[in-house]
Amino acid sequence: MTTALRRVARVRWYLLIGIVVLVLVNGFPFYWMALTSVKPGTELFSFPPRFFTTAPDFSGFERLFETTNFLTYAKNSLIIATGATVVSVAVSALAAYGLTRFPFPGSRAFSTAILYAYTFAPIVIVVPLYGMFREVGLINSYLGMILAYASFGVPFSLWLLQPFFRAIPAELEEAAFVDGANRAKSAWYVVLPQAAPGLIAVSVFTFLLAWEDYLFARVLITQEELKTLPIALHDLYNASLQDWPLLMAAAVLINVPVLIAFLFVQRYLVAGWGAGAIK
Amino acid sequence: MPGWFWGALLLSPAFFLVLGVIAAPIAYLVRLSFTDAHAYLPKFGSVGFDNYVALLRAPHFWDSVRTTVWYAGLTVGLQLVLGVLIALLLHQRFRGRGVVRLVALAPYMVPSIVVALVWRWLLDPTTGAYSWAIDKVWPGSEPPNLLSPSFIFWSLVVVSVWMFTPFIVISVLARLQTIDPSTLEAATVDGAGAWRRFWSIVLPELKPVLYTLILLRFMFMFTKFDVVYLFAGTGTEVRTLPVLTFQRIFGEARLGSGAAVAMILFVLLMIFTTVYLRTLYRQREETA
Repeated sequence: MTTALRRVARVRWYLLIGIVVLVLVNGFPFYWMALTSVKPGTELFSFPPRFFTTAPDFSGFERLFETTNFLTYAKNSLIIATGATVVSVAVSALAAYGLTRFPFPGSRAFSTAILYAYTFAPIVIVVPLYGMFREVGLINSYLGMILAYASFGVPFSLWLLQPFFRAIPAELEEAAFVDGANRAKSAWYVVLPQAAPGLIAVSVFTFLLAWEDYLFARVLITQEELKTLPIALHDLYNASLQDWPLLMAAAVLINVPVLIAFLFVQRYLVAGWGAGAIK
Repeated sequence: MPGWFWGALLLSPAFFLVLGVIAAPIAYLVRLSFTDAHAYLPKFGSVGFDNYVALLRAPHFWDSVRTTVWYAGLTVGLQLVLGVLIALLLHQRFRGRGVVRLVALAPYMVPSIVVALVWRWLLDPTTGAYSWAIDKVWPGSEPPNLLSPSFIFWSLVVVSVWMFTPFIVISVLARLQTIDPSTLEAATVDGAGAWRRFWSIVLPELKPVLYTLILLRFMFMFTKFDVVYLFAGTGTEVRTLPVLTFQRIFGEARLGSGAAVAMILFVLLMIFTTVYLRTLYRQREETA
């Protein structure tokens, strides 16, 4: 027993060191962010820095809600991210169903084109999009932002969803036809539930894409009342006096939906992400 | 109705969305790059290849190219080495593995603006926790200012590697899970040590994934804008090509010139994607 225990300990010490280092390196910035958001002003600039606080002070959060339009920014982010997710998932689910059930001349070319679109960098697209949106009046509009993010979500979602739809046996649908369902009904009641894990994964990724984006929002939004959270946070940072507890309070709050989404999909992460994005 | 009709009908929303918000902008970008368009002037005229010629002649453009290649090369290389190591670590069985995996993936999920701000706060020369810790471990005559022009590039590399390594970890982990454990057990029985098993069995299995990761991630880091700009891009020290594009268009309002930089990025992306797709199809044929 003791020798076995010693053997485990000997084999595993490097594993333990690796885990501790990993958790510290990855976790500390999050801890520091949360700690700063509740640090009293007297401890904030002490040097050497204080690594914990005994008197948490929530005035940073209070100032965030009282002196900035935080709730407006959060509302904008929520509307845009939700809209982009709905549009993108609906459009790519239709397309994935079409591609896997009704192959037609050119559908392979379409898939390849989608893959090219998937690798397009936002910085390349945003330049002409800015020019075009100005001409058609989509600058400073929810619709413009939703379309921009949805167009980035679609190539990625379509690429990830196809294997999910392909894996659903055609016999399942045929059985539904025999029972008198038409194609729309069978797609809704038979195919969609089967593809649910894929749909959930792409919904979360599209939501986060829109929720976290800085570049498109910076360029396509100029009005204060339409700002999303990332650009609002950057503007608060660029203000003449940097109020770190307030900034970190905002950072903590931006991460709340991210954390929920993350916990929600983490079991699809390794399977879905690995299979769809890389294979 | 024939099947292809329904196929085309179902595809059409995706088609028009991608056409309208990706393909049409690219066409517009091509046109813009041959003009002297300015954000505040209503009219613009064609200038032929002037924007491109001016860029290729400007020394700061080549500085940007160099910075971008260094940034992408260094960050991808470090991410790969660390990513494989961490994936191997997380592939082991141990108690609390689920929680450790969450922590390992967390940096990738956070918005770039948050990463940039938290790290600028950690590395702040007078009050930053990391500046203090580095000074403790490695006392110098004065604490290093890791946000100063001479250090900011290296700080950016560290922050980027911190943020993007989890993507490699997830991809490699997914592939590791498909390796047949009995192969490894057989090798252990035959007396192969951990190192030998890694080189002879695991690494060859990972090779295709690593190859595509190098291509995809190099492309991704080469065109990365937000974390570069937000953490380090406000000055001229770290002016990668995406930052240069942004500065031309939204700082200086020179749409034509900025479009030319974006076009150069676009052409490079297309070349990379074509190479990537060729290897992807070749790998599929080999496994099929």
